[in-house]
Amino acid sequence: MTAALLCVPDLVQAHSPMQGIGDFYAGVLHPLLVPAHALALVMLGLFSGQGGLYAMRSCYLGFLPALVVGLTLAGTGLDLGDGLEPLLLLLAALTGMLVILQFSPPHPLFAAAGAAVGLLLGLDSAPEAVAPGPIAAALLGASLGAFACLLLIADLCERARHHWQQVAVRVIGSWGTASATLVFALGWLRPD
Amino acid sequence: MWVYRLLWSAGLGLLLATNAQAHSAAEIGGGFVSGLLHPVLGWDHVAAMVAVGLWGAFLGNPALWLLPVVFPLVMALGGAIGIAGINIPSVEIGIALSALILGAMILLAARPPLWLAGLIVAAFAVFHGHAHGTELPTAASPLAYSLGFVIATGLLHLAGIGFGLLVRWPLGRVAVRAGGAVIAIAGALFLGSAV
Repeated sequence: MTAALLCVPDLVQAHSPMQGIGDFYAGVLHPLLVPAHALALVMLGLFSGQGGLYAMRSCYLGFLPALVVGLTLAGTGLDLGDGLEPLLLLLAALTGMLVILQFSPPHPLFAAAGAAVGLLLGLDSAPEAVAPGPIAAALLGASLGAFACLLLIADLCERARHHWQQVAVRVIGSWGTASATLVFALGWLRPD
Repeated sequence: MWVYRLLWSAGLGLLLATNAQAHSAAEIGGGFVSGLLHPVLGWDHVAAMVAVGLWGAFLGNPALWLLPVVFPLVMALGGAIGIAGINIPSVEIGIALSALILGAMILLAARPPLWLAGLIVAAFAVFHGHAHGTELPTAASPLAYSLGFVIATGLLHLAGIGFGLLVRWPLGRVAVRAGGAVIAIAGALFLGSAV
């Protein structure tokens, strides 16, 4: 299975950019194609993984329904403009800061953070397709891609038992916080 | 259990599949690579970043990881100041001074309290961040660019930490202090050309 998975990206890369991979796979890759989405997912994954298994479950319970709601609203054509990405960056910076501090809040806060990121990510993932079939495929792909990414990061982080691994998680949190802060500042502070 | 393994494999496949992002990858990849190269191509940045890691390793835990965590956070604030168009006078002098002072700290085996070490590193991070931040608005993908230069900064810290861990041995301690001397001399040369 691992070998098959390794072959898939090369096949996809070989013949086409996004157009050739279809709506479903374009949806799957969407969270990774948009840096703000990927950053928010990584920071949320680190935050929940650092909190342990119960925190991860709480986070997923908030994330998944909110993601579905957000994607559904995006699929109906709801367009909230460009204001969502700065909010995602703000959330990435905040969760990254909590990762640096190794702060473990009450579990409902993990669910709330998951819900906030899931909703914003869903709303900001409106597919370009117009027919119902491709839209549904893209949205399904996006939900699977985002959840798999979150799950992978959180699981990796939860497995960090050694001191140096926990330090590495905090350092990555600081990188994410710094990047998100800079680009958030770029959106708000750039003189026109 | 098999569901768990399947999801894990799917997630791993997703990460591997990033090669498929051909067209928007040009923009994202371009921004990331230019961000990644920005600190590496400036010797003044390289010297100061390595010095932060080196000094952290010299001071031991928790400075070993705290200084490389403080640096990017404060650097981001410096970058925000640069983005806002607020001018910090003599940024290049500040960057050169960071190599000179941090190198001297290592050379002299200075062991200030943790808060003071953090404050010194944070003060210099503002100058480095300002220099990066002023270039951010022109980047193709600002987030990818900022991720690139923050990661490059972290890797330079890591290089310094790796070298700095030699302090466990007497000869290694001499080598690390000699490394500090080289950085301080380089800082003095940067300062000479910046003034």
